Parts: sequence; structure tokens; C-alpha cells
Amino acid sequence: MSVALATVAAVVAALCGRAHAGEVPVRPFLFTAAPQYEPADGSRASNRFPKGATLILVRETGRRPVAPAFYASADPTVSFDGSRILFSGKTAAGSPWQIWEISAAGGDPRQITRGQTDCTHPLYIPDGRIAYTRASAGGSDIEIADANGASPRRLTYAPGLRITQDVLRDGRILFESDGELYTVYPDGTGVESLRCDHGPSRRDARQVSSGDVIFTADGRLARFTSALASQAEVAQPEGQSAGPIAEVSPGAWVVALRKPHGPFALYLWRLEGRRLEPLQTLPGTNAIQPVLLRPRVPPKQFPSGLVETRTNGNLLCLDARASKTPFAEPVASVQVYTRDDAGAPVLLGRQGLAGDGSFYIQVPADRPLRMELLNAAGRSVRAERGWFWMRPSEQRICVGCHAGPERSPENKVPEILLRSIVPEKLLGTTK
Amino acid sequence: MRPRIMALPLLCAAVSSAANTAKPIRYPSPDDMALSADGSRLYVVCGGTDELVAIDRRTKTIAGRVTVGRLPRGVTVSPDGSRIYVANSWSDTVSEIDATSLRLLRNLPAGFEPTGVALDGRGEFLYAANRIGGNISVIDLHSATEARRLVAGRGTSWLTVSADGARVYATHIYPNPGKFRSPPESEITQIDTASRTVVSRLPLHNVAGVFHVAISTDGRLGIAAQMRPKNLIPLAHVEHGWAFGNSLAVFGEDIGGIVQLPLDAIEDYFSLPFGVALAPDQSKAYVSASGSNEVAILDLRRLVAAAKSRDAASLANDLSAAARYVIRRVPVGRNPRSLVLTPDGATLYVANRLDDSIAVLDTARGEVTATIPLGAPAELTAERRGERLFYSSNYAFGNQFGCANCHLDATIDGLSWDLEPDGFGVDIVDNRSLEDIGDTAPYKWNGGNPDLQTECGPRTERFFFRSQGFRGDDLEDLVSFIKSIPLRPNRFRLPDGQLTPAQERGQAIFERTIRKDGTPIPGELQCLVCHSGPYHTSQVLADVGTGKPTDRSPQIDIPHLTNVVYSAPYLHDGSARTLEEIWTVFNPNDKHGVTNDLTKDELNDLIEYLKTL
Repeated sequence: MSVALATVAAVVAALCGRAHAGEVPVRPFLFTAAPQYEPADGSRASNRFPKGATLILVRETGRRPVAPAFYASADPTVSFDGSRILFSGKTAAGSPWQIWEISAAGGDPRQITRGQTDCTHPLYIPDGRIAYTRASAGGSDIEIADANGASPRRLTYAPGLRITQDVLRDGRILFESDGELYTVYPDGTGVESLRCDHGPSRRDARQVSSGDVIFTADGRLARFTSALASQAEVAQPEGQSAGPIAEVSPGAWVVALRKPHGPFALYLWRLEGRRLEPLQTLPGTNAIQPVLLRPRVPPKQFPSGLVETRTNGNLLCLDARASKTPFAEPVASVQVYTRDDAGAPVLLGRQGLAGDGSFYIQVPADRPLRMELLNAAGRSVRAERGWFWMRPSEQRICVGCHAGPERSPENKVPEILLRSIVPEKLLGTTK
Repeated sequence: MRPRIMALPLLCAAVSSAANTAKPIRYPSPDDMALSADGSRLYVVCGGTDELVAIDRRTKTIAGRVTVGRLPRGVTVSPDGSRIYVANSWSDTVSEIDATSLRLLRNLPAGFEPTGVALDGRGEFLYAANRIGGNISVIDLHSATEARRLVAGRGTSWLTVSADGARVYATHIYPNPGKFRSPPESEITQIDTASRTVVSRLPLHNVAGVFHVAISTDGRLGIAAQMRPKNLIPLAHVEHGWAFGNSLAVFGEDIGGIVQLPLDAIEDYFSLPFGVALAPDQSKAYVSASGSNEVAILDLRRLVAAAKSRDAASLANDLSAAARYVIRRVPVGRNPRSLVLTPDGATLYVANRLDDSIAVLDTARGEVTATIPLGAPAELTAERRGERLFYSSNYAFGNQFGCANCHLDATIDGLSWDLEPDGFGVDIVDNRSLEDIGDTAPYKWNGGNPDLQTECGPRTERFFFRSQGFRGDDLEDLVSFIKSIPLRPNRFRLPDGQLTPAQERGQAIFERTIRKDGTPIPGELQCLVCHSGPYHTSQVLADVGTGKPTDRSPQIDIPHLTNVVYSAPYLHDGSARTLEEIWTVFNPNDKHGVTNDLTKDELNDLIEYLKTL
């Protein structure tokens, strides 16, 4: 056992049994104990827990490490029936993080993912598969695999970090990238930002029973709610929060909170009445990532219609000029880039907009894509900074280039489809 | 006149699967409601049991029942409270009932499928909205005759009279006929009860499916529940309100025009809005969502402010706009339809049609405090379970829509959709009727689905709902319900089964084997060859020259023709607005049967015959 783990275990043993949650049934629950943890470092797997981490199971009868033989364990998630636990684990200091599964009743962990790259942040998918984050040279990607780790498939195809967060009740995978929250279907299609309000840096998100997505934004809890297009406030206690939260009931959450200069501790936060009750306080050690060990309603399954043997996808935009922020000059055409393995942009092609601003193009699948809008002289009016992707045979459609998820389409046949129902091929020379 | 063979119509949707010989199990299925003049009773129309049920408001129990006509849908009470009027949609009558004894007094004649009823302020003239007729019967209660018939929107269904009795407002379930692939247009028809004439038609652009309308007590504000379908845009996904905009039309002097405002939220849709009620003090409005099973409580002043705001015109497609005026969404029973608010505004009654109950919502607390059962059978048949699934929006992404959004009241929506998953603008399809289709396989306009399980299962969840749909037992129940959807009564057949002279002439054209010049018509161009059998379809594919450049194949499933008169528009893509256009516009080369040697009168005869099928 490592020094770090021994330290954590000793602290846990010393504090065993003192967690008061009142009438709300919090136990059993899981959390991660980490001697050193800074939320800002929490995205990249290698940075998260420099002194190790230990996944702890708390029951009424006491608490114990879930995988005591591991050098580090974290990122717990519970199966929909409450019987199994997925977690990220390192068997030794120098080994990569991998996804493991263990029975909630105990026993030996079962390794799910394999390889030399870090795999973290696992999620159960309602169709029986699992999703997780796999580190890559350019950041990290989201993969989905069978319950035993077989047939891993990559879902994301753009540079940068992408960290799995939760499975929304509508079946979409929620992930974080570059301080913003996105969704993608479990077949990799339909990637988009959950909101388009350009708020503060967001991470560690989880959906609660109301449908709201609770996350941390610059150290404070905040939420996206279905009725609003922008981030909304959350009633919360004083201190710095580290998500995700665990919902005990619609009116009570377990939150990780720290005062200045102290470690994160777990509290029961009652929203109505705004009462804070200590739940887990580990001197010198952070208590984070609370998860309740109990059954939950599975999200909906997503019925994929992808034909993976195809090599391209089609993209229809109803009006490229529809934007939450006005353009400085009229937009006349759109051009699309991918990037080569060295990261240099590669032009795939250009299409002029129809009179109503619509365009219809075919682009290569499973490649990073970025769009740029041009004026009549071919000069750039606006260019996307980030990258997205399309999956093989994906049929994608959007209201505008920057319309926001709250903008529903006007019912009108796009002019570009009156010209032709065949998309213009913007495929460059990319294979 | 010659007798003709008619397909035996299925008579009841709620037929038990236990045995054909068993007595059909019938469920009350409450729909429209009205309060008695003294406020002591709630009258509930039960379409499933052909009854009017009177509920004692104080005891929350059933005080009496009276059998009315077939499939009653609408109810109203005379100003003096002595009479109750019930629209019998399948009997084409309105029942007049004594409010004290609950005794049927007489049946008044109406048009085709009277659905909603309203009275003028003096109780002299009764207005009945005739859904199939697309018009409104004005019935003189003194003479018990139809004094006149007013043209209204297609599928005219619901009526509301203003508090002073001076105006009647009518809405309609299907959009008015329009140009192919143009935005659907609907209207709110406003009738002056003094002159008994239509005085205005308030246009509802890009709207198809308008349901209940409510008018404020001062008559200055009106609100109608409506849907904004997105049928002209490829249904590539569902998020962002891509299939339907569940919304309100807000109109009247307080607004200065008509403004459409959404009820949906970004990930949580308010599916299939139906009933509307306004608080007497005009502080709140209530709207039922018959698909997502809830009632929205709206701040009426904020709603009016949104309708009068500078950005009002852009709000219809803004899924964050409802936060301005929706206070709360309250879960209620299955398929909530009509809403009735007590005069003091304290209690809202909600007809949970597919739970066979009435929810009692305390408006001050904003929650359901009691449920009044209407005496449903204990057994829940597969057909009834399937009917619940059919009307539920809980299977589509974000609860945005269910089967019943397109198949309104298990019929059609009068629209063509761009549904095809493999490409955009390809294979535009008309929404087909579901009446008595159990034995008309294959399904889908390209004949691609061999059975209803395929049609309603994997295809629907993958390309419509974009979410986990009907599977296993649910799918079987849903199919059972769809197969039980009966043919509506055909109003064009004579009661004795005979044909009129025009229908006889049309039948001869339909069955002819030689042209008027005496030359033979090849078999594949004879109407009766392809449109054969009990459903008037040979159930195969055929190229009849109606394919468009946007169709992947010109081979089209030969449709059944039973009750074809009700299901406009026509052809696989809905490009023919009328039966006549099938031949006069879309059959230039006689590939869809030989029709170009027919005169206008002969085509009229052919249509008269088709109406009887």
C-alpha cells in the first residue's frame, strides 16, 4: 500500500461512523478521498490526484475502501439497479488509470478497459454499455464499450480534452470540454453545447431529478434549467464547491465544500431552509465526488440509425446568418476546414449560401470540422474557434451558425433544398 | 339504384381482445366539461360510453348519468341552466337534456361530426362545430331546425362563446387546404351571434391543430391552444423543437393583433396543448397538455406583456420564452383534455380522458388535491393500454410529441412531412389515415414495413422519436390499439345501402374496362384492378406516374380507399389537395388509371362514388 493511500485509510478509520444526515437517507454512499486535490487541475487524468485517491464506501455500519489494493481509485458511478460500481483505478503509481467494476456487496474488482492510456470518468449507459474518457495525445476522447470492455468505439473526433460527466435522462452523454458543457448521443452524433451563453468555466456536472444540470462554475455551484437559455443561480452555502453534487432528494444534496485553506469536506445541503450539515470531514484530506449507492431511474436508450460503413455525413443549415451576435457584414458563403495530423487546418471546400442563408454540404465523417463564414469578396466574416465532427451517415441540421439551443426552427422549406436535394461535397482530399 | 357491398365498419375502439363474442369493454373517456348554472354540478361528456355524467361538486361523486348519441365530444349549458346540450359526433346530432331530471328531451340535427357546441347569450340559437363538414351549424332551438351553416376552418371542432354572448369563437383541428409544401394556415373564426354570421377569420400562420379557445370575461383577450408543426423541415432530430412547437395564440383588443407564444422549454416540451381556462380576475391562465399529461399555470399579465413586447414576433420559436409567463407545470392524469374553472377561480377541473377521471386542482396551492373516478372497468385491455401509449408523448426526445400529435384524435393532421432519414428533402410523405388499417399491409408509402410492429417499433423510435420508443409488450399493445381504430361513419352512403344516381355513374367509371371510345383499358390502368378488395387496395407497389424528382423510387404503395373522402390531401406526398386534382393535375399521361377522356361531370360522379367507399 502506498504512503498516500495509507494516510487516507488511517484518516478514514479514525473518523469512521460520524456522519449525521438527519432524516434524509444518505447512506450508503461513495466518495473519493484525496490528500491533494484542486478542481482546476481536475480535467486531465494525470494531474488530478498527485498524492493518490481512495474510493470509500460509507454504510450505516461504517466505511471501507472499495478497492484497498489499488494505488488510487476515484470517479465512482453506480449501476441503475444499485448493485455495481464503476470506478477509475490505478493498480500502481506508474500504471495508467483504467476502468474497473466491482459489486456493491464487495469482492474483487473486474478490469473493464485496457491499454497504456488513462481511462477515467466511467458512466453506465442504459443499453448496458459503458462510456468513459480515454486520454489521447491531443487531450482526451470519449469512448463507449460493451459492459466487459469489449468493442470500444470512439465517439469524439476533435482535438482537446473531453471529459464524461453524466448520462442525461434523455439518453445523451454530458461531457465537459475547455470549461464548457456539451452533449453527444451514445453513437457520437449530434454533438453540441448544452447552452450557448458563454458563461464562466464549468465542470463536474450532474443532472438531478428535476432535469436541471448542476455544475461548478468558477468554484460556485450553478445550474442549467430547461426553461432558460443561460446559467441560473443555485442556492448554496458559503465556500468553494467542487462538483459533482449527489442528489439525496429534490430538496437535499451532498456537496463537496471547503473553507479558505481547508480541504474539501462533504456536507448535506438542504435547499429549503438553506441548512448545511457536515457529512464527511477528513482532516488534511479532501472528500469529493459523492455518489449515492442506490437504484435510480435509467435514462432513455438512444436508438442509433448510423451506418458505420459510410465515410461521410450531411449537414444542412437553415440560415447561416441566424446568430445570437450580429455579423459585421453580409455573409455570402461558408467554407469548411478539417485539420491534418500536425494540427494544421486543411480546407475542405466552400458553398455559397442560398437566398435564405441555407446551405447543404457533405463532409468527411470522423474528422475534426470547423466552419468559417465569408463575405461576397471571400473574406472571413466569422470563424469557429472550436472543432466539431460528424459520424458516418449522420444527417445533421441546425437553425444557424450561432443560434443557441433555445432557437427552434421556423417552418419553411430551405431554399437550398429547392435547388437540389444532393449536398455539395466538401470533402477536400481527406481520406 | 343498385345495392352495394360495404366493408363492415368496426364499431368501437374499445373492443376487448378476450373474445370477439365478449361484450366490449368500454371506458368513459371524459372529454369536454361544463358547470351547471348554479355551480353545484360538473357535467362531463364521456365519449367512450356515450354518456353525459353529472358530478356533484360538493361530494365529488357521480350524481347521475344519461345516455346520449354516439361518441359525444362537446357539452354546453343553457344560460338559465335548465338545459344541457351534448354534441354527438358520430350521430350528427346534438342532444338536448333536461338539467334537473337528466332526461333526454330531443335530438337536434347537426352537420357531419358535430364536436363542440355553444349557445348564444339568449339561449335561442345553438352553434355546433362540424369537424368533417368544416363548418358550423346554427340551430334554431325554437323550431329545432338548422337555420344556417357557416363555413369555418377544416376540421372545425371547438367553440367558445364570449361572456356577453355576443361572439362565438371557433377553432379547427386540421389546417386549411393550401399550396403543396407551403406553411400550414389556420384560423380562429369569429361569429356575431346577433347576425349569426362570420365577422372575422383571425389568421394563424404556420399553425396546424388548434384546440380549445378561452375568452376573458371582459372579452378583450383570447387564448387558443395550438401546435406549430415543423413539417417543411427535414426531421433530422427532435431537440430544439424540431418536430412541434406547442404554443398559444394570444389575441384580442388587449393585444392589438395575434401573437403566438410557446409553451415548451428547451429540454422539456409541453406536448399537445388542448384545454384552456382563464381566471375570472384575469390573473392566471391554465392550459392542459394532453400529450405530456400536465397543466401549465400561466401568469396572465406577464403573458400579455410578452405578447406586447418588442420581440413578440420572434418569441414563437424561442424555447426560453415560456419562462417569462409559465409559473408552474402541474402533473395530472393521462391525456388531460378539457379544463373548467369555477367562477371564483379557486378550483380547476381537468378531464383525464385516458384515466377515466377528473382531477381537482386547487389553484391557490397549484396542485391536484382530489381525483374523481368515473367508474371505469377494472380490466385494462391491450387496446386501452395501447391507446394510452398512442396519446403519450413520453417516448419522444424531451417528451416533445407522441403518435397523437400527427394522428390527431387517431386520424390525420392534413400535412406532408419530410421524414426520410437518408437525405434531406427526399421522399416527402403525406400523413395517412389509421382507420381500419389492420389488414392493409404493407405500411409506409414505399411499402417498406411489412407489419405495424415494424412501422411503430424500430422505425418510429429511430427516425421519429429519436429516443427509446415502443418495445416488447408496449409495442404489441400499441398495435392492438391501432388495429382497433374504427372507420368513422361514412356520411355519403345512403342508409339503405343504395347508391345515388351520381354514385352509380361514378361506380361504373371506377369499374370500367373500356374507354369512352370503345378501346380496352389495360388491366393495370383500370381503377378496380389496383384498388381492389375490401379495402380497395391490392396491397402492392405501383408506378402510377405520381413520383417526383425528389422521390427515391416511383413505386408507391397502393393506398386503401376506405373513407378516402376524409383524408385530404392526396397522393403519397400530399401534392393533390382534392380528389379531383389527382386526375386533373397529376395524371397527364393516364398512368394513374385512364381518366383524361372523362368530362368534369364524369369526374364529379367518380368522386361521388369514392366518397362512399
